[in-house]
Amino acid sequence: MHRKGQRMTPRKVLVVDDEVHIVHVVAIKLRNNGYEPITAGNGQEAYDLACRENPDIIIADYMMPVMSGLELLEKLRENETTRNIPFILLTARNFAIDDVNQQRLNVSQCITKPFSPKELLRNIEDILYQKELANQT
Amino acid sequence: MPDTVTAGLTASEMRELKDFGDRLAALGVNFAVCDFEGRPLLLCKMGGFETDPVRLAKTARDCLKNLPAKKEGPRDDSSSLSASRYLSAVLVPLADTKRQTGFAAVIDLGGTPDMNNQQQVHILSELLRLFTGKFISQRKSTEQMDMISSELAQTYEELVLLYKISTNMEIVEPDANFLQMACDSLTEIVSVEGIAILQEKTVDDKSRFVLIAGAGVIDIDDRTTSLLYSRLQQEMNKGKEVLLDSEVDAPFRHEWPKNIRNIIVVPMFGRNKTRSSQQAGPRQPGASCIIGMLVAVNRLDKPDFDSTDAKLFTSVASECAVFVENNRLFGDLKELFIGSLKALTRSIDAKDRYTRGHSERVAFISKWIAEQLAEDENLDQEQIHKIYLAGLLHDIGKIGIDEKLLCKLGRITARERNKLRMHPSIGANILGGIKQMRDIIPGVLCHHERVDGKGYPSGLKGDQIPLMGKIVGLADSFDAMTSERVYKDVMTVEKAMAEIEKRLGTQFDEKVANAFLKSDVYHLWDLMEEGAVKTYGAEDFSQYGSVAVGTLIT
Repeated sequence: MHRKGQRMTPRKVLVVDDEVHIVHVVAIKLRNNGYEPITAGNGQEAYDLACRENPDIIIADYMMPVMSGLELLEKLRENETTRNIPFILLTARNFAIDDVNQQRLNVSQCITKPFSPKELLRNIEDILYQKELANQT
Repeated sequence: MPDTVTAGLTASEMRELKDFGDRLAALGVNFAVCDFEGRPLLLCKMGGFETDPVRLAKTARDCLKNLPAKKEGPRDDSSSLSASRYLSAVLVPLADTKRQTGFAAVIDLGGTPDMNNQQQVHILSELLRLFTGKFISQRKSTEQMDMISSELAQTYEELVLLYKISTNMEIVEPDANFLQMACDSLTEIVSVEGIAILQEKTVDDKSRFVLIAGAGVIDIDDRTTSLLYSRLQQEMNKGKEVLLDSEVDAPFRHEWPKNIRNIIVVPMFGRNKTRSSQQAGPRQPGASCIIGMLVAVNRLDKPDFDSTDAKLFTSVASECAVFVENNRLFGDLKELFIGSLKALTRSIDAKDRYTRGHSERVAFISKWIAEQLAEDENLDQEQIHKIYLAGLLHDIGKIGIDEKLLCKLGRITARERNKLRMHPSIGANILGGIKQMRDIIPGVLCHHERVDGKGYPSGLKGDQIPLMGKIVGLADSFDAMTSERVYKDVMTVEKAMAEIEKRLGTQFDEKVANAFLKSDVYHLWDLMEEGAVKTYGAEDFSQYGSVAVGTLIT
């Protein structure tokens, strides 16, 4: 179960959604499982935080005012420092993004709402584990 | 779990404290935050002097030790303000009866405060009190928020479960599959030892509850199920919605097997028209009765099932009930439909004894031909079903034709021939009134057309004739050739096949007929001879028929 084993520094997860309750739910789930959540309420804030804090993975909502999750992702991929951060996109059921864009922007996973927090956690673990494996080789 | 030394203060809290310490720099004092052992977690040495670590530690420990039992507020050394060098207040009194934990905020004023600074000391003391007060209440809010968020996370899981169950109800599948999915999904979000769904089945006129799906470890035998049912009924009669029992608040109300610590039983309601003779009294139309039960035992992460669980289980149970009822109704509908079709075809047989069983055979042969053509013509299961039904009903129009004419021996006049040739259109007309039969009509209307255009009723040529019509037409001819008829002798299979080959391109479409001729016609014949069609007509037929008919209804 604990593939990551005991960690010295908890892994940082950046969570951004304009719906505050979702941010809280995801943050508490992360904190209770040994991660360090960093939160933001909009895309711009998230971008600044990502550049500053260099999180291990980013979870963002698609539909957000000012800067959508997709726009955030575009910016992140253009920036050297944030280009390779794994990214999970939360979308409402009818607003999925097509496969072409998913590939181009290197979206690790698209999850539709309503989502199961437990499953989200499992996905995060998987993605980070895969990344670790990739880094080792 | 992260180690407990810093468990009390988060990174953002530390930042806030450091911020406070920095602000105090303007006043030339040192600020420190210490744990219960006096270890400084934070030390802002802005006052330009060294804080004595021993004294600092002692102040912190004293502050935390002398914490009044119930009072959680800030506490300071205001008793000896003039002589004090250290102001301290409890920052976080971690809940611990031994008072061995907690954090204290300490201000080191540096040196002996003189009389002039008395007011400053007061202000600082007040400041500290206000700050720690705010800090503590903020912490409480965050704790509450975290608790709410955790509960909310659980609610999200439940939402996803119900969502998953509802979306899966669109698919038509056996009860057991759906109910198993419900069980599995439930166990994922509610931590229990075992979950089971029992369904009511009437066997030998006796009503029994049978285990149809389950997850985890749960011991259900016949005796248990009748026990569960009767006890659940008792609760219903008392006006309750579910049966809950445990030892938590009071001893068990009923006797349960030893390994059961707590149990919840939720009913599934439906309108079961086929009830056993055990249920007494006149049946009220539309009355609901219990068609199943959802049972869960031994909640693992909590001592007992609570009302939220009851609500969730009730929701899931009612969705399951709806699914089961729908499935049952659909089954009934198909049975009704296919029964009616059979009645229709039997009515033709009743009129014309030479053609008894002909419709069923043509249906069977049509299906056979369709299966041969399936790959080339891109026919899916649904279309094959429809071709079967077209074969079954192709002669329905004969019901509108005089019996005397149908069975007439000897020559028939041209007028009589024309009357006979009306049966495809009569059939199409009859079926035309039923919406679900629309797709079958081409097979009925065109089964006497010929590719050379000399067929009836419309004289269609070649590809003008719909595939269904060509297939049924061929099947019809083959069966006629190989049966006894008023107007001819019976042919052997070989002769029939030769005859068909002769008529390629004239009566029969080459592709369709070749597909038939190349197939194992003898095998087909054997199946029919063995009475496969007959037995196909007893149970299998109605089963297949139901499946085929289901195509028309979904």
